[in-house]
Amino acid sequence: MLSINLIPRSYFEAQFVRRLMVFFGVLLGLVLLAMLALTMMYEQKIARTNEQLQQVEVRAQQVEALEKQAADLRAEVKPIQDKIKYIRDVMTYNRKMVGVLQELARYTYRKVSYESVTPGEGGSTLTIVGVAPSIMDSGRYLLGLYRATNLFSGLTFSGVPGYRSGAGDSGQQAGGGLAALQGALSPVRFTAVCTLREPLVAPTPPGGAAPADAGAAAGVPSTSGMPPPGTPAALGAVPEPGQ
Amino acid sequence: MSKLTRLHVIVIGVVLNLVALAGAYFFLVKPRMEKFAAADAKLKERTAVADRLPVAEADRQKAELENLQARQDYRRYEDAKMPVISVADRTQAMIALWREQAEVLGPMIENWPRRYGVELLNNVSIPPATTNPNTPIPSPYVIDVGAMSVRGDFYSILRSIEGWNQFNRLVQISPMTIQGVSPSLTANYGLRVIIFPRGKMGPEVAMAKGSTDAAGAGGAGGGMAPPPMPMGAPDMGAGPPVGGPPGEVPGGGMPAP
Repeated sequence: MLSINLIPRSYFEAQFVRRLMVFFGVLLGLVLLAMLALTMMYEQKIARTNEQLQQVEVRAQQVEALEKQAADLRAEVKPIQDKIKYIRDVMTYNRKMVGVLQELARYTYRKVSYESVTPGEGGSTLTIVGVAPSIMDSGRYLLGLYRATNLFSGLTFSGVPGYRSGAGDSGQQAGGGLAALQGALSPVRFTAVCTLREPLVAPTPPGGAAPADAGAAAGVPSTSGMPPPGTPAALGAVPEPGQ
Repeated sequence: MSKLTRLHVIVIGVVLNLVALAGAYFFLVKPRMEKFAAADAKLKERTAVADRLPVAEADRQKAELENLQARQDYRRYEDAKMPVISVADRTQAMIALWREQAEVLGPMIENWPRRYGVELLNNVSIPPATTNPNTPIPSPYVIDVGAMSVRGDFYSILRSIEGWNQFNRLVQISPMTIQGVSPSLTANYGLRVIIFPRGKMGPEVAMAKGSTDAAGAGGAGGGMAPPPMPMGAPDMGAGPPVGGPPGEVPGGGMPAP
């Protein structure tokens, strides 16, 4: 049997278009729903995070309060610690020269006598004026000083006589073998300028400024500093340890 | 409506969906994502802070101990080496300094080297303190005693130098010059007494106009000025006892604030 579709083609087209519109409508709805669901999900996450944040915040504030307290305690005690450090530094500084002299005595050749031991300006050098009985002894003394590398970083030594040339040549001016022998055996007055490995630098008071001199502050002339070294006394020997 | 073809519907549908998708993303989702990201970052940051709680507690305890230790240490030095000069009351501080510089310090310094078997060769002279209570007392307050000259054998001299660290005041010694023949060596050095006054500087004292500091004139101008400290021979016996254990500070005079 022959069946003839008499429905016009436009009818099917319109039906398809309607279905297409429904499809896109549903799709739009799904898209909006999905976006809404995503929004809700993020809202929940935000709420959960904020809740956690509130819990953590209490502890975090506690930590910050503790840290501030610790910083305040340290800041409060800083000036006191600075003063303590200064007091200790001053006491250490007072002992330094004693240590230097004790070490120097260890490296001093026993036949050498010192006239004076004077610290230089700024406390970086030590000037030693002394007398050795002979050139050989002054050499031994110098070799001893060279070994004091823990104490000195540099050393200049002067006073060793030449032949008929200034210091210590009194016995050589007469000439001749006996005179030369007398010259070799005559005392050698030497000066050794030693650069200290650790300079004797006075500590700085808290605040960094040089300490105010009470006398100067009150209008009194200051008498600070060392007296100028006087004329050296007679020859004297710095004893070696144990003596 | 009947004129819409499938192409029209597809184009319109796709565009509409894309617009809805973009609109919902940018206006609904994205702000919340950003908000969440910010909240999450803050949570992480604060969690990191909160996780430091045990460390912070320990550090605070440590700071407290440091604080206590420093105060105890300083109190020890203060008791042993500092006269009680509280600048909270300027007048009393000034008078305490008068006593310190005129009566207390000189005999103490003069008698000290003898404990170590060395002989003090020079006279100790201490400048007078200010007579103007409004003159600020610096911290540290330094009294320059000047040059000291002692005689003795090498090791006595070294012991006497080290011994200044046991003195009842904080003193700073400049590097010494040593001369002479052992056992009669002479050591020369400079001496400064360093005092940390206590308390904070109090209010200025109301004074009659024209009041000046007469300290520089050796006390002659002020009327109230203390005499300077012209010490005689080291054997001067009038001073207060010295050389006791730390804390046995003669003089001082003022109660602690």
